[in-house]
Amino acid sequence: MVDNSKSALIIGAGIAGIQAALDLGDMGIKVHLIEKSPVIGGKMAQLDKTFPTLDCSICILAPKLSECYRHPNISLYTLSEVQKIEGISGDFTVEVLKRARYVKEDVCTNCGDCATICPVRGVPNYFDANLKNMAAVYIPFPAAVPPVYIVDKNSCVYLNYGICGLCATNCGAEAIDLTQKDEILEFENVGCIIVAPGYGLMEDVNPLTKYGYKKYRNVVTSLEFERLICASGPLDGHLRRLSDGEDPKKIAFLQCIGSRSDRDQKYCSSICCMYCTKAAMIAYEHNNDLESYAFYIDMRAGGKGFQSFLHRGEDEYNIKYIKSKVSHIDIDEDESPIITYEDLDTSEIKQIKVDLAVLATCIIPSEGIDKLADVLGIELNKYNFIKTDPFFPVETSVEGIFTCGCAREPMDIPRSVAEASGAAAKAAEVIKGG
Amino acid sequence: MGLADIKTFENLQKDVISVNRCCACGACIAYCENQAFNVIEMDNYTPKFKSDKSVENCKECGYCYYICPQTEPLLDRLKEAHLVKDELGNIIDIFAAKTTNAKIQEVGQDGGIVSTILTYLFDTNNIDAAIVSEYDDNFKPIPKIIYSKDELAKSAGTRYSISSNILPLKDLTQVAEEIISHKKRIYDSDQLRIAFVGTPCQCRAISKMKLLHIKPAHVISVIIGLFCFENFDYNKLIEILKSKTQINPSNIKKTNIKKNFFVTSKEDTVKEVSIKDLDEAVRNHCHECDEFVGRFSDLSIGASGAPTGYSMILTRNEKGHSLIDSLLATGYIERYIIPADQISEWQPKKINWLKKMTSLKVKK
Amino acid sequence: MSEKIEEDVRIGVFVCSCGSNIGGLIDVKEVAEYAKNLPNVVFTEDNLYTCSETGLTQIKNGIKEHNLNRVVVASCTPRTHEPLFRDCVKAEGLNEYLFQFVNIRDQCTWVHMKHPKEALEKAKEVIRMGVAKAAKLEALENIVVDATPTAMVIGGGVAGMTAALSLANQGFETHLVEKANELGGKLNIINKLFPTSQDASELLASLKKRVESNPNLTVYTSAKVKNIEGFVGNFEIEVDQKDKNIDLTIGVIVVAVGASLLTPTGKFGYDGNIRITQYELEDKLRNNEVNAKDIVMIQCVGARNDERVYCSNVCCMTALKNALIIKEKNPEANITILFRDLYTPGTYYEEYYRRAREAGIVFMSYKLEKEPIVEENTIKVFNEYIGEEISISYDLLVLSTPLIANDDNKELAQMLKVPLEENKFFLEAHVKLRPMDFATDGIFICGAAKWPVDITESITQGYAASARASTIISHDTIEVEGATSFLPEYNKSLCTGCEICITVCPYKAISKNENDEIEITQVLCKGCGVCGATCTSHAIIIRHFTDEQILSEIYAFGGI
Repeated sequence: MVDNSKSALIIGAGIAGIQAALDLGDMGIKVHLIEKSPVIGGKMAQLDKTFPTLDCSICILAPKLSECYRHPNISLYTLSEVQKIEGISGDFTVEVLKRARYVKEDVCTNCGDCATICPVRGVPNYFDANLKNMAAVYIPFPAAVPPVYIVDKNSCVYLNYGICGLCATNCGAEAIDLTQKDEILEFENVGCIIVAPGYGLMEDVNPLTKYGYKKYRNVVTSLEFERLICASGPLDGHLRRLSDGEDPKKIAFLQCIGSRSDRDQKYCSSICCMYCTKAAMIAYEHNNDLESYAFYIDMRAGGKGFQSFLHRGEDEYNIKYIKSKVSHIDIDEDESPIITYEDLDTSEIKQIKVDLAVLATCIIPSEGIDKLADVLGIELNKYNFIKTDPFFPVETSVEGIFTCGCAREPMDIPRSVAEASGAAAKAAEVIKGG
Repeated sequence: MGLADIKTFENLQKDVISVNRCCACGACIAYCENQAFNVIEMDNYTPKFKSDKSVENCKECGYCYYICPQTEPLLDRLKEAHLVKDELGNIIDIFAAKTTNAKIQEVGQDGGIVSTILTYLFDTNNIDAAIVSEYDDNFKPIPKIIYSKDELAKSAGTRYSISSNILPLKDLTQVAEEIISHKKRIYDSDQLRIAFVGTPCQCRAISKMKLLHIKPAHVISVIIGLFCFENFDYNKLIEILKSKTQINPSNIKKTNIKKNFFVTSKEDTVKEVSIKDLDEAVRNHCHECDEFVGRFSDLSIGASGAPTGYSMILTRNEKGHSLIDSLLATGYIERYIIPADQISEWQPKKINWLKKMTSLKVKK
Repeated sequence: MSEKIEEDVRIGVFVCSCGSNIGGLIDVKEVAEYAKNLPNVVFTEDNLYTCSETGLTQIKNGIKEHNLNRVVVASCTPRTHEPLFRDCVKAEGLNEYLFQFVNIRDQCTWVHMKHPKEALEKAKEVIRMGVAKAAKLEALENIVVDATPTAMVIGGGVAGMTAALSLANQGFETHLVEKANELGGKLNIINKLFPTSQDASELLASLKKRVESNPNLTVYTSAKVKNIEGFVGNFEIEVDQKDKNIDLTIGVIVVAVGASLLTPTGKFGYDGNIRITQYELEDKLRNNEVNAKDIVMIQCVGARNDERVYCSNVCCMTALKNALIIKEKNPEANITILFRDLYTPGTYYEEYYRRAREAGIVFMSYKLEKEPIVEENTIKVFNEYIGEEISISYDLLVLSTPLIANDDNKELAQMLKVPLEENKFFLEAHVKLRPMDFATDGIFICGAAKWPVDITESITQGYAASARASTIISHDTIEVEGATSFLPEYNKSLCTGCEICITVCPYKAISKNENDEIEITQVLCKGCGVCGATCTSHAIIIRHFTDEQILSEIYAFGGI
């Protein structure tokens, strides 16, 4: 058949990067999948359920993670970042920095003894939206791929002070090697690059204080809420208020936080309308007495089955949709959030007190995208997402480098998956078509 | 078998314990027992291996040595982290204050500040517990974890012999279970917040543990340091007091130092003992200590330099400073009003005074 | 309960918590304990997520250490996870058909959320049944067939052309079938494209040129698919082009037949003259025929109501685009857009909306319960802000109507043996993770045929379908499921030749050969079991669902 000797290099192993890798791998093309964090799966692994099917997110993702890990054509490099590229479409050379994991990937049995004996406490677990802490040697979540622990070099006492080493000396498989060093990997004969770094969180760069985030304990972001209702999250799936541990009976979901705004981001974050309804539905499943309020400007539900999903929310899950613009949040003596908003149906300024407020924060370009764009030589648009032409949607400004998913614009999982396959097709055209 | 070049408990014995430099803070045991390694214990204020087998079972991780307040290695990094440049450490503000709470005034030492701070922290639900020191029936200081301000009364006042305040943390898991069962808010034992009150050497150990972010010190949310000139060995102190005052330890109502040592019995008899007579009872490690005000804490509190009825307060960082600010703002404590003609020289004078006290202590 | 201990059968049972989906309602440890005492079970284990790498390793270790020759996993649904677990046991040297899936989530904890005690008992029961069947399972071989490295794309609109070009560029012989007499689909109707305002004809011309000049790509216009036989890798397709018959052997099929336009007869006074649809407006704008001064556009006409629940995605942007074109040509024009929720998601589209507002286009919202009333020269609409009805005069009314499914979708769906959803759009295998695939192997879907989408997404989906199709025809062979129906030699004498099985088979997999014997083409069979169930002589056997296997489950349930 055609010559498949050229490989494809995919930057980012969220659902988009994984889908592109699987498609190319299934086509018989060799794939190098490069991921900055120690595990693959991206944001989708952090979700509880997905809309509109209410599938358990990790349940539908885990088989894909495993497939990636075991695929004969896919080589996975975690804790890795692209530093430099040279060459042109059809023949790139890529230099990758692979950071030390300090654990031997082919030896670790994922038993967790190291994390049990490590005395370090208080390392925030990014996977749990920093709601839970972990030791200096950890794995972000139980179903993680690769199923290998990681030593956090910023909090490891041995790496910083030269003492301890308890994990290494007590590992039954002798898998921990605290002398590991970062290494530089070089990939030649790379036909195409697909850049799929996903998105970043607004709350990481903006304190959102007028909504009380980080000020009031009962104001949380949507990702924190996902972790709080997720069975593998800090509360084991039993939703409670963070201030007093009580069950919330009224939850407000505030859409368009930091988006469609002159003060923050002008654009629409696209997925919040749907995921707020989803989050309210999941919360209702846990507690049938729950009253949910969704504050929105325009309800955006154009995807397949999305409008019916919203109707279900209203009819079966006790969600009230309030067309409004939210001004700010205060709290009362019980730390219950009080939301001041303009009701757009009646033009009145109103207030409502709830037990818990969930902020649907705007999704922003991935952290480090400036540096990545620089390295790859691709252009970013004025919102700092990867620039693409609407009629050449997966092509970047550099030939042979393709993109997909939230790296170029906020979008939901079905679109990300479709775009990933799309980018894979373009890559295949270059690699197989010559 | 640990990694190479890491000092272990055997080194600790050689460098600190067997040469009488140990201050019996309990840090080494608190860490090791918290890890369930089960190899060392406190025996009459002396840390030692539980048995011969324990020597083999030691994990040789080195933490006992490095967190010990009396060892060198982590000191430079610790000073950096706490912005310590001189003998008094980083000072944001220095002033005198006293409690406004009548009950605390009755039982408190001097300004009653520490008890008031803990009361405030409990009242505002900023802590779940506090480590303090109480006297048992024989006037022996016992470190204790208390869970409400109602338990504060017994811990007010100065302790005049060693209280191994860090030791209770060895049972942190049990402590945690007890608190978590009453507080629905806490879903993870890491969320516990415990206030620590201790002498400079003890604060140093806690601060070293927090520098490394290791348990059990991760639950300590505020470190309240006390001024300390010297401390006594309990057994020796009681022996000397009994022979000089004929008051039994079980009959002691109160003690305090003002130039000399005063003992008040339960029948309200007051006996005075010369400080020089108590020299023999001073713990050896105190002779080598260079900290008077305790530099590795969020705030330091003591009587020295304060007007009668007040305590001196040094705030060292944002946490300690805003805590005291809150206490002032809510009226839990009130500032000493410096007479108008003394305002400009008051702070420099006090700083010099404290430096003098420190050098006195070092010269001893 | 009589225990029939099968010789040499060693069953391992793995009970999954599925996070809290199962474990949150029932005690999986208790269930695993219970399974220990079932006949032939030598090993049990419970996992948090059996499908995770850790869980799969535990299965493999279990097989190794306990010499298992049957594996039962009690967890979620075979729909999503059967291939994963089958691959897992295969990797450990066990035939993948010696694996039995028991659903204790979708069919147990999820549907009995309010009855945890009963759900626990049910979980035990279904596992008992699964274990009994597992003892009766037999090793089967998959069927390997050749894959023809050719593709057919049905529908020559923007999605179809994109998919066809991509496949051709990858080196596959590609056939593009279009029923109209020219390529382009809706691109022929559209005037300008949002959000760039370039001419649709430019994009169309560029696509057409690339399509027509590609050596791997053959285009058939005025052509319709008449019949489809065969299966993935080996479809035999008859195309009718102006009454000429063309037979093609095709490896994979991509459906890109697009959607149709709705004529809003009877709604809002539609007359095709001064009350027109957006598409009729496109035509008028292209011919420079719009001279109106007061234009009103109504969104969601015939959409997002009881008749048609869905949002058609493109209408809001189309309205904005056309409004801006009119406004730019005639800055004095008064344009009002009456909307319910404005659909301009993402970065570019939200920016476009701002542009429209800044250009002076007026936006007024209305509710479904109080639709605007269209009169001869004015429209009356209730406005929430002032709490009163407003009258807007107009000389051109434009109705934004949704894209609807083609009338002939049903016919094509039946030919392909693929499903349609309630709005008659094609239904993909899984909305989230397999958006371009049909459940039927070898057939893919993209563009507005699946759901209303704009040009950008049509293009993306065209590429995506091509990638998915390519994963199949990039290889010389395809493996097909071995759990099929067959008529064994020893049952041939039972067959009465009634031919009911031929009639009922939905996949046309059964036929009579030249010796007048019933023949079941294995590679066409999907193992649905209808033939076996209807065979009056019980001659047909369904592999992996034999009478003995199914009866063993029933007996196990009944406690026999």
